[in-house]
Amino acid sequence: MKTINANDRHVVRLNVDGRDVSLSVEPRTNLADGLREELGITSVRVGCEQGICGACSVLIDGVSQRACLTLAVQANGQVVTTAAGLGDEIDDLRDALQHHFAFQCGFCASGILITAASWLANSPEPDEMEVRRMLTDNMCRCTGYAGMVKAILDVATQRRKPD
Amino acid sequence: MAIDSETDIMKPAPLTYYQPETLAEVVEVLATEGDAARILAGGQSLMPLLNERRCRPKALIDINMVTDSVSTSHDEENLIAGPLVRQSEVLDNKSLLEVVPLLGLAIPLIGVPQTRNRGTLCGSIAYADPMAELPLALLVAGGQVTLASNEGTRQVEIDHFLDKAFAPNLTSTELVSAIHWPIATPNQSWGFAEYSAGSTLASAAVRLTKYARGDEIRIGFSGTLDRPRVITLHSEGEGIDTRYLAHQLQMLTESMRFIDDPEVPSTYRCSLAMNLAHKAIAQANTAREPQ
Repeated sequence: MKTINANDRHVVRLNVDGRDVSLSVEPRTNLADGLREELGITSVRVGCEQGICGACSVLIDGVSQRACLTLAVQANGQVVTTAAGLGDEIDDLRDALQHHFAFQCGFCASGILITAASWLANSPEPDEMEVRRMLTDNMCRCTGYAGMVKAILDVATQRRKPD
Repeated sequence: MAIDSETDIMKPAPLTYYQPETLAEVVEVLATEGDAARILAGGQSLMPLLNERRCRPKALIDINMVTDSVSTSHDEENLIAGPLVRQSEVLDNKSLLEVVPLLGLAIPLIGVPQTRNRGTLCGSIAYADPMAELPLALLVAGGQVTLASNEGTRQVEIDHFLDKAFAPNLTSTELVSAIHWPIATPNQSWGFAEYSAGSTLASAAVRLTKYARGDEIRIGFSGTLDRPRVITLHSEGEGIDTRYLAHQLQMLTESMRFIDDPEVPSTYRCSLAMNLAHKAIAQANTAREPQ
């Protein structure tokens, strides 16, 4: 059974944004802090550390979740995608967010990208209530979400159009 | 950037991490560590406590790599869910939701989508948050909890398990290894109503059972009392006489001790509970097969 003592640092090997990397962390270090401090990926924000604000949202093995509520040691062997690692498959989302003036301070932006990208990848119906329910994953204190909702609906509609 | 974790920032206290691969290993560590250890499943309830040091276990037992725990299975009477069944995976499973429809009503109200991707059914039950949806739902459904230790397993009725808020009835060497959720029968229908302002403040869940002589209405409340509690009403004849129901409900709730505090008096909580009960009953009534 793998056991890591409290004061030992442990080497975690994982894939982050397409690169194989290793982190050296104490067992109590959460994944958000591990990504930020060991790898310098500061686009993963730390807001509440209670799982409420969503600023730390990442994909782990394709599943969107809170990096602040996962231990870095739990990510051994996993594939982690941060907002910085979402590739050109979401160029349409980035363009739409810009077009609709979706962000102000930008602190929530990384989390919004992860949440929206993950949802859009499932080819959902462009349904406003569904978009708003999806955005409960992330707290935005600046904008009232209006621009984000429009942008995401636009992208969902465009993606559903036959080529 | 160097962070002085000793003085500047609140992070979890130092802890030893175990990653067992079998249930036998889990209970072995629990037997040794006892109350100094906490089980880490989804982590959506536990990690917030650790992050603010509201909880400082000396050890964490991460059960996410335990391969021999049951996922979901069912016998004739119950759905059995193991400790790693995620809330979101239940929502994605239409055939499962058909046999336990109350789960389909309660789970969408838990947290947010990302927390449901990690959070587990068993973890929510084991945490016994008096505001939470799943303990209330399992109570109204009349389910059971399986507790495992290095001495074997035992089954406990959920009402007995939810003894006190945040302090469920299990020993320090036990974990919740499964929940048993009664499969809905054709004469049952369900309702779940919740009031939340940011976070959940109060819920009511209903199981409506049609018998030859009338209806049994089983109503559970959470958030307004010390812990989730259930009352049962009966209505005779066809359909639900809402005035009679309101009167019965009023009488029963007068005997319940709603939480009273300087911000929110018990009279408000009582009226909130009644309001939610009526909503949940209406939902269960509407969900019935057409007569």
